[in-house]
Amino acid sequence: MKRVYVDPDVCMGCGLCEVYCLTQHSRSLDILKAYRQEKPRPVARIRVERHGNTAFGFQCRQCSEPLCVYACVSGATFLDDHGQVAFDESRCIGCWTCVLACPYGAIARDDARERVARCDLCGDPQGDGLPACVRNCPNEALSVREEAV
Amino acid sequence: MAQRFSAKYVIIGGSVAAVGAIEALRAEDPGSPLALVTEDRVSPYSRPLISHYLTGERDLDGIRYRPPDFYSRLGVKTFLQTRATRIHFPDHCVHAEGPAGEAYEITYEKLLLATGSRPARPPIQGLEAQGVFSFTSLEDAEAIRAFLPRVKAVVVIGGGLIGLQAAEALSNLGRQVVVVEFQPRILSPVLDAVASGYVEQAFAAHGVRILTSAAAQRVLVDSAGSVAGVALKDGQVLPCQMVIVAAGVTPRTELAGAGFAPAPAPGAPRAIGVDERMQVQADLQASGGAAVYAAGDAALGPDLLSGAARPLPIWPNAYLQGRVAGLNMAGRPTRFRGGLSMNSSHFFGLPVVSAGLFDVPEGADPQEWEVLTLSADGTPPAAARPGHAPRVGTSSSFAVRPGARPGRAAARSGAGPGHPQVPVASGAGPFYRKIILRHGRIVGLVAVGAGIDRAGVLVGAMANGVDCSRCKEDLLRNPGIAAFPEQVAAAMRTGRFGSHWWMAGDREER
Ligand SMILES: Cc1cc2nc3c(=O)[nH]c(=O)nc-3n(C[C@H](O)[C@H](O)[C@H](O)COP(=O)(O)OP(=O)(O)OC[C@H]3O[C@@H](n4cnc5c(N)ncnc54)[C@H](O)[C@@H]3O)c2cc1C
Repeated sequence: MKRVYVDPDVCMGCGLCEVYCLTQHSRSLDILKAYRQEKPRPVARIRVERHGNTAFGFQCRQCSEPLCVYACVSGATFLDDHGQVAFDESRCIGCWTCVLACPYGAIARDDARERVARCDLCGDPQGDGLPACVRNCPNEALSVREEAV
Repeated sequence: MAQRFSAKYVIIGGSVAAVGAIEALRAEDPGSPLALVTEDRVSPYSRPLISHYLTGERDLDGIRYRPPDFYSRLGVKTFLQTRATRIHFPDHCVHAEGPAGEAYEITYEKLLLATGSRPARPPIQGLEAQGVFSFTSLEDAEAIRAFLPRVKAVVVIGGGLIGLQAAEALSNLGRQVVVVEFQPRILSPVLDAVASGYVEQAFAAHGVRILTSAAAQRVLVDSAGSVAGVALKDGQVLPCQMVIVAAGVTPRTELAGAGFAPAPAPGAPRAIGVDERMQVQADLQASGGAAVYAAGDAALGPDLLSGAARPLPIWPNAYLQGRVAGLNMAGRPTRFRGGLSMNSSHFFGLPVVSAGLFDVPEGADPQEWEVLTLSADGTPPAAARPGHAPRVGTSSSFAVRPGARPGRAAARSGAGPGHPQVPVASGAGPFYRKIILRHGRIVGLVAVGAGIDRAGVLVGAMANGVDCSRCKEDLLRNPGIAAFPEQVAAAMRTGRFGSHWWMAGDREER
């Protein structure tokens, strides 16, 4: 399964991945407009986890037994034909069952839109385009790899 | 003459447990004949979404659980609007009746009972009156909608999840709604007093009356046979033109027959007892074969935390059980390690969740148990009446400083045993998070408002039995995997640890 990995020794917790993720999932695709003008404000799908001296950007693990998919009551979160976790946001009702199910805390609530915000590998799970977080990490702490789990 | 069919796999029921099984079966065995019998007239839809259908926010396509061509794409021969009437177990044969009275006999090698549950009928007189509905199916929602034009006031009997979803929808449709709850508080099987107090407040703020410790005794019927009101045990009469009966659900076990022993849990409703492969125990004993499986609301499987058989009539559990049944039916041995009580709901935009326990059990040894709470500030919410304050063992509480943003603020130690810190709705909306630990492991969670963010981290720790004695306070304040000991966090970063606590494959075990 393809997923983004983080090297916590290299991550400095700058939070730029969150900013670029949010921008990538905005209407304007413009870093300033996305954050300052778009209402409701877009929600980042990656989150910098911080604890003591460690920090690391973290998002969907693309689980081989994806509980979010199994728990989803609407069918908005599903497995696509390639077995990758996919999300049809128009079907989501914001019941937050997947927020309760995801052991990684990797699903954010987009409260204003009453739906969840979750990593979609920037809409390119099969291609080789890099997700915005990986592309823009100044320290190259993030990378995409395919690994069987 | 009955029409005869035969399929390697036969499933009775067309809801989430069936979908879980079909998706597992087809991943393992794309080609073998698979037949499905269901009373439903449409491909799988979401019961939790029927309130959105009732309000008109969503049409049928909007509440479908899978695309309309789900069955045909996966090569499932379907018998819609068809009721399985009897199973002849020695011959492996399902007898069924179609919408026009057609008789079918369908033989199987492996059979799954995914027959779910039906609304329970409480002992209340007058339930046959016109205007009395249950609220568990698409057809219920349609019937309610058709009847609504003559309705101003509705009484909902039952303040559980289903009753409250109906109450919210009907209130949003402009009807006067009163909820009658027998217990001292609503949602008592899944929420603690604080959280259910918040939900009560949300309903009150939207003009919905909630009567607790109230018993509906009789539906009053007018001369035309229509609902005129509900009489309570205390003599109160609530005038209304519609009654929604939402007093729980009962597993549909009738097909399992007399030979199928009910599971042995004391006090549990009769459901189909299954082993860890979701095989029906009685079938195994009777025939020595492994032909009949059950999953979902109809089945009585193990609870992960206690190991005991326990009904868990929730959507995620039905999918997981269906999946395990499907894998085993297809020949991939898989154990169901247990389901977790896991509830997420939102009423008038207020999210509330719980998982595992929501209070420390009575008589628990205070040495073993601990309750931590985090709240927007330290005062109790109006709706959480003192008599129903959450029971705590050894309790240390944390309250975010007033005005500070939840999750960012520093914590301070709070009240001692018997005086749990309970929150109050603030400008930013309610915030509440509570974890229950036993021997340093999380066994319960309740959260309200933004307190639900990343709640899954706490549930994952619970389900995986992670020792949280050193990180519990960090987890409470700011749930995230960085709070765990580094070995656990590192395993989680690889995605190898976390989401398959409910199952174990035989290969893995060896
Ligand atoms: C209004 C409502 C809201 C809910 N909200 C939530 C929620 O938010 N979160 C949550 O976790 N859970 C929720 N639930 C509970 C959840 O919907 C159930 O746990 C789940 O539907 C159980 O799935 P199942 O597949 O076991 O059975 P069911 O969904 O009950 O389906 C049973 C299937 O079996 C068929 N069937 C039964 N007997 C026969 C027969 N003899 N012949 C042919 N077909 C038969 C039926 O037609 C149906 O297709 C809600 C339930 C309701 C009613």
